[in-house]
Amino acid sequence: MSPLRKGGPPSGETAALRPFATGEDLLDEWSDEDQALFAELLEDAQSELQREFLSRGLAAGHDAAALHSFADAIRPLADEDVFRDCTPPRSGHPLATLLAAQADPLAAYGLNGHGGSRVGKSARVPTPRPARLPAELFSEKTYVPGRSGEKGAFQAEADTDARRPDANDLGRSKELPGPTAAKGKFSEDLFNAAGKPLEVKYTELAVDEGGLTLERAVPVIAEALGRGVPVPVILGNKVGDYRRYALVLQLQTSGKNRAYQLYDPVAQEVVWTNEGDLLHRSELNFSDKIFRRITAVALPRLAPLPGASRRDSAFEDQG
Amino acid sequence: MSAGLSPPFAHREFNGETLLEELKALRQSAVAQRQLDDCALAVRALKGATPAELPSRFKQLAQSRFGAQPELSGLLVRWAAKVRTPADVGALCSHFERLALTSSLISCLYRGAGRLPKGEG
Repeated sequence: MSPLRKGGPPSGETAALRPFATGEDLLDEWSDEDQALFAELLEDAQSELQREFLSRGLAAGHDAAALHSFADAIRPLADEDVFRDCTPPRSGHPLATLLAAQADPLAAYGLNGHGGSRVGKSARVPTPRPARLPAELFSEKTYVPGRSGEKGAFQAEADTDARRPDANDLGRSKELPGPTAAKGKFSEDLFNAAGKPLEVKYTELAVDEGGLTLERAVPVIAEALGRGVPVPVILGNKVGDYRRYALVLQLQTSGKNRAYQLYDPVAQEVVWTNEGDLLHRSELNFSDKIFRRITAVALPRLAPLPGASRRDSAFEDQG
Repeated sequence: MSAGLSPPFAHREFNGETLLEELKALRQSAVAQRQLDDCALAVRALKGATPAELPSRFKQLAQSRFGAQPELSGLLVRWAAKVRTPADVGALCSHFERLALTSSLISCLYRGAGRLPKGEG
């Protein structure tokens, strides 16, 4: 799928020479691989607003990696959150910065406190890119896709479809927490340290607090469990109540029914819950009924399975 | 998900309560997290083994790398002896990876508990 209609620059002209280059023009300067990535990002965007911001980011001159990170950061967010985060603040920055951010959603995103990332940096004057992005561009080093015999492969009894969602689709980047990511984020560093030997990373997110919903989290949890990766969750009485950590150990499928096994290490209690009950926010089967539901989850960031069409910058150049 | 798996590996609690019991035993035997991680990585490299050769490969691994940890080496040997099908190989290798990751995560859950805002809501 072509993300944008390709107008095509005049022959021999580079985007760097055109002060008012459009997103379409800039896209033509990208490698085929990056163009394909951008097409996928547009395809995976959850709303027209997200697509619009991606296109504006492209027009502002951000590279594929920055747009990829940005897309991952905003994908789990509701439109109102995306709009708020990508609209520059009224004050607190030099006028020139605020003006630049008016036309650049990634810059606005950075000004709104989602800094420390490549997303919030000002756009650069675009230059023609190499066919592949250098590995040192990426701060994340997670495990590589589970190709047979390859170091770092972490793949279990996968009956999974490579196009099923994973944590890469939901607030993947640690360095790019969305506005709701700060909620429910308590021990992400610990989980990442725990997963490091096996090259698994986690992103801890609140559930049902305006960003990530349980409906969107559950398929990612299922995907992770199917690939042998347990999922930490926080239990509570209601949304925003973070009382106790538990671990989703495994998923069992019987026909159309799927059941998840949760383990509370403090109470030493193991319970099963059906996916339907989970999605209906029915009370979990723990003895202590205060632990009624999942209020936050640490979603593993999974590499695409072999043959998957989606690229993930975190795994690039590691194969 | 259980297609092609032998009964021990298709059991509902293979990666549930069975895994937790194994973890408990390993902790009681003072098997360190690092050894579990090493074991998981070593086992990962054996995913391509055939069901016929897996028991000997696991036994070799148990003796050469984890001989000083009888509980862990015993676990390797016991499970490897139950492998019958190619699917069992993958399930078993995954089991040891889960074992290491679950152990590490559970430690995090205890540590992370202190960071939770208790009593809210």
